[in-house]
Amino acid sequence: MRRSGVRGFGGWVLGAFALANCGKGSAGGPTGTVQDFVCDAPMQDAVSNDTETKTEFTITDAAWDETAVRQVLQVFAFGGLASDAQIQAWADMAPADAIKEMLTFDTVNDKLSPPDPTIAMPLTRANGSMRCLSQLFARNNPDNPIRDKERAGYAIDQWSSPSKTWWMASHVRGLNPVRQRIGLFETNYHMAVSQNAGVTNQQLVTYYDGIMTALARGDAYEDVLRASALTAAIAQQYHHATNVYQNGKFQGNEDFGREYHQLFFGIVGRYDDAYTDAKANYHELVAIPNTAKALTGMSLGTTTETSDQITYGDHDHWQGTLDILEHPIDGNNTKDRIVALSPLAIAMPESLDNLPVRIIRMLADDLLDPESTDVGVQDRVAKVRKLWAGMAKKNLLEFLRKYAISNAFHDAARVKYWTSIERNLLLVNQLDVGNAEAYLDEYSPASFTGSEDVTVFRPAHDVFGGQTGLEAAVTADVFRNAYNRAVDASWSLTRVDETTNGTTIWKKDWTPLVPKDAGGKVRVKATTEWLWQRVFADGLANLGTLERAHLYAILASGTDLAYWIDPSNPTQVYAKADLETSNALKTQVAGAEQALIRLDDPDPKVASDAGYRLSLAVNFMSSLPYMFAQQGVSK
Amino acid sequence: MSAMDRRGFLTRLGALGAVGAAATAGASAFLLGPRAAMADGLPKAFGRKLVNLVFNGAPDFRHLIVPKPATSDTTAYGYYYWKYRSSSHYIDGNKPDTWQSRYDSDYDHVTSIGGVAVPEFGVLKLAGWLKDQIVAGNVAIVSNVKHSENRDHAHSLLMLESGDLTTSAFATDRDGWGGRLADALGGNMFSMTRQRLLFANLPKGSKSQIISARDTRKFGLVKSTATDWKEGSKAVSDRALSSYYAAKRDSIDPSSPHAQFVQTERLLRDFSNAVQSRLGSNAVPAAIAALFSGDSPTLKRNPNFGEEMRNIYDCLACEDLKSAAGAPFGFRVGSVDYGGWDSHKNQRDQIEPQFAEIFGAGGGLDVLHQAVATDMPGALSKLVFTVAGEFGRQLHSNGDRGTDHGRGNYVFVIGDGVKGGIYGDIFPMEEITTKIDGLNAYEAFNRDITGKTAFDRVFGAVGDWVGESDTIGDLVFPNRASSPLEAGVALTRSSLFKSP
Repeated sequence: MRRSGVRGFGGWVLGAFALANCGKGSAGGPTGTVQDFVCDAPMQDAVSNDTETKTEFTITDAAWDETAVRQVLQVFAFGGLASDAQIQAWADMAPADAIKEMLTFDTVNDKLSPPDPTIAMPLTRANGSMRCLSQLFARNNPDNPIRDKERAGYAIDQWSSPSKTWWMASHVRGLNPVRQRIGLFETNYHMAVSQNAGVTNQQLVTYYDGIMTALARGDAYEDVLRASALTAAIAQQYHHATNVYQNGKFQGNEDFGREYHQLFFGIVGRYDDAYTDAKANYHELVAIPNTAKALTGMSLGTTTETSDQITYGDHDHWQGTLDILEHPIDGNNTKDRIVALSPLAIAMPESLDNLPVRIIRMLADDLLDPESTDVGVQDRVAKVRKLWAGMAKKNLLEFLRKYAISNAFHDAARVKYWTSIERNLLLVNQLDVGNAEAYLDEYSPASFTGSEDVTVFRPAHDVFGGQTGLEAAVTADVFRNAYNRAVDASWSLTRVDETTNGTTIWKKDWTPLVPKDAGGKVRVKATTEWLWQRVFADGLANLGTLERAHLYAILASGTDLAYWIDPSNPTQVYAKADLETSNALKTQVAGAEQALIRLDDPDPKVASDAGYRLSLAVNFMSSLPYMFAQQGVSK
Repeated sequence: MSAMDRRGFLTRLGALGAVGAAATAGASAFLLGPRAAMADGLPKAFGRKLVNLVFNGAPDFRHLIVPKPATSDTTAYGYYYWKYRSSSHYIDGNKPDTWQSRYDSDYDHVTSIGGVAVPEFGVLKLAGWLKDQIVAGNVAIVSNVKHSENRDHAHSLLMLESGDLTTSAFATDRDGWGGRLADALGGNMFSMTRQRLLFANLPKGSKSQIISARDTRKFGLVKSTATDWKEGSKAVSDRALSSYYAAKRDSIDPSSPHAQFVQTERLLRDFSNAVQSRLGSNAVPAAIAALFSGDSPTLKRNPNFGEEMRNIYDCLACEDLKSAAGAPFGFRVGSVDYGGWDSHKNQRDQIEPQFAEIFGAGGGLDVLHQAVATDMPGALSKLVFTVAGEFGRQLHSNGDRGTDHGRGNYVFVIGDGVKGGIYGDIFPMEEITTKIDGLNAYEAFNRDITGKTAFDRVFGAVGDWVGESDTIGDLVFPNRASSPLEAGVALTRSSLFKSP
């Protein structure tokens, strides 16, 4: 019997990564320092960052501004962790140049997420894979900034390790949130696997790192999908590792035989533009069963530690040519067949139509619908398809970059409803002022997302993906949880320090971030606008009279609008018209514009209260309507 | 309950494993109806209402309902079923004695429905409550229902939940048939699932409302209390947000994508006080609470289904409430789900415990049924469940002890008001007599149940009954009259319900 194959992501196909990726992690010891950490499977692959970016749909340099930059970062980087200066620098560049710096798939992006110099952690490129981060975060060294009781949970043999590691990687400074955003998309939506289906931590981490390493390396997208299809995680999820051809009979299931086409490539049986029963029948009765037959003769590692190993052999593999996608597909094992099949699949007209639409619909535009009769939607669909079709070699990074600076993205008709994961990460990434609060998990985004019935790596719809933005938007319980958190658990976002055993282990300091006037003072109006743009990225379009009044009240007084105006009547509702017509109200609100927020007051209580007010403002904003969706801005 | 009934009941509890164990421990709690003293203030009169239960993942209902084995008669349906479905039953297709023993040990044999003799068929013993309801004549088993033909889960769910087989694969924000029914009834739609299903979506311009009842015990929005420090973050945030949203209702552009969240806030606030007050004085019945709460909930696979049962109970308990503005609670349509039916592998292990959690003695529907019978008996005859998945599964089991995607399937209509029986050919002989390339539908791979009856017919008739009008179903399913209907089958509210 001839067998071929190695562990990891696509085995021989992506050999360099797979061979390097053989470590099992180390928790470190109580002695030593976290700085000594050496990952046993360091990231070594090359990165290909240079792609085409400019297209006929690219918005003009003049239209590319700070709001445009922030909207891109919200959608593709959970808001990102770049400084205001960096964001302005990108806004000042041509979009085709800026986007190359903003969107990358490597493990680190120092401009998008600069390291926090105040907390030493070896968040290097080599250590930036999920596997390495899991090992690093789990280190039980006294100088590990993660709480000692939490560290062990990151170790790969702990049940929630992938999820915990992903959350931390997505909002700690010094890594690359774009990588985690796309990693989430690929592993929880497009090519979803679920730990509820028995996918092990080893399988999942290998799968996740393999996909993102291949994408960062610039592999053709069909090669990424091919290698993903050949992983142990996928075999575990769909259970085709037990498919065999024995005694002249196929024995197995056709689950992945179907979903390989449908979910990975967007092929459901139409094939080209014209639907016919004959093609649909061919897909059902020939292509899918034959793809299932192609998925025979493999085996998975037999222990938890080796569960991400998969081998593809010719023993128990289907003998002979298989007719799939109207092509003869030959091979001695599953790998051979999938390698032959993937270039055909990505070139199918149906895939060319569906795959780019599915990608963008999930990432950035919930209203993208090829069947829509709305001409605006049709226009955006056509542009997305053209961007995809225009790439001779399908490269996801290039596609996303081109799209992110196109007028299909920068369109007021585009709406991205935030999923619970996206919304909670957007919020904490703008609320965090440094890594201390991230490592200490002061704002618990994973916990609050869980309370909205959403868990990373356990997608709500199994292989069909996690909660969508549209689902989050129409599920009132998601809004209710967010709102009630802002009231009932207001402490969680408004806390500004933490003291343990009499020692202050964390103290929030907004000072380095908040804009200051020429005299170095922090004032209410400027701070309101800064916070608003930071969290909502709408160019202040929705910062109206009502919103300003409420935020001015909070920042100027530390209380709400009604209480600020009249403490004896704190439940009074002030309508927009009241605020625009009452001289007394106008005077009071206007008077607060230049009020000082005394973050730098020598009295620590005053300074702390000032910081509390900023956090209270963010808490208020966390359940405003604008926290649940991003509307594009036409450029 | 007679001694024999109780023995049978406890036998089923034993067969149910986890469900059974928990239910046994607290059996008297829900068998004897101890909540009378706690049920003060609960409504006594109810309007008709539908709760739709979506089994997403394409359930193999032909594993739940099976033919009697015919171990040697090669012209009988029961021969081919057991021979070619053997692997998904974990038995040997070449050993007919294993067919019979499996059937005898794991299936209840139903020979009559509502006192009328029927040809014998089997119902999975783990679904003992369902079997009892079938025998009692409270379940319509609608056979050969036509579902999506494309075998694509996500797309087919959109079709099922919209009630429209022409729904496109991307139409995730269109109206659902539950929303259309609520609209036609002038009532409200109650979404009780973790993620709102498309089923619940209202048609554009509807005056009905979608009420979030995902967790009725956390219904509505939190408010600060008199004990909260008035300058503390909780009180300040409560006042700021409630004031902001109250003002925003009149000033936000209705076409803004953000307007829906202002509307959501209003809906959540509307019934908050009334619901919290009603439920605050009525604890969740212990048997229902045991389904989902504690370290060892009765429903181990899916405690969330227990929460959905709680939500149904609670919404019934709020039947007579009004909003602060005087609008009726309007519970006319509810939406619940139970996923995990895509049984390509190890089917028995996957789906039988799930059938038990839903249909078993001591399972979700049983416990709810008993709690409602005890506390709000007037509701039972007014409540109907529809149960369906997005498509059925292939007739020949696969080589992984499971079944692959098919098309047609059964739909169940369950309720005390339902005229129980078999609607359509429960085991069509053509599946074994019609041969292609010399093989019948069981012998060949990739064949499935041929859909003959549109779900428009089934769900439309249910809509008619809920709305007490033969035209309601047409509002929800405009093409009902021209949609397929299996020969010899009548699906109207008078044929499907005892009291039309």
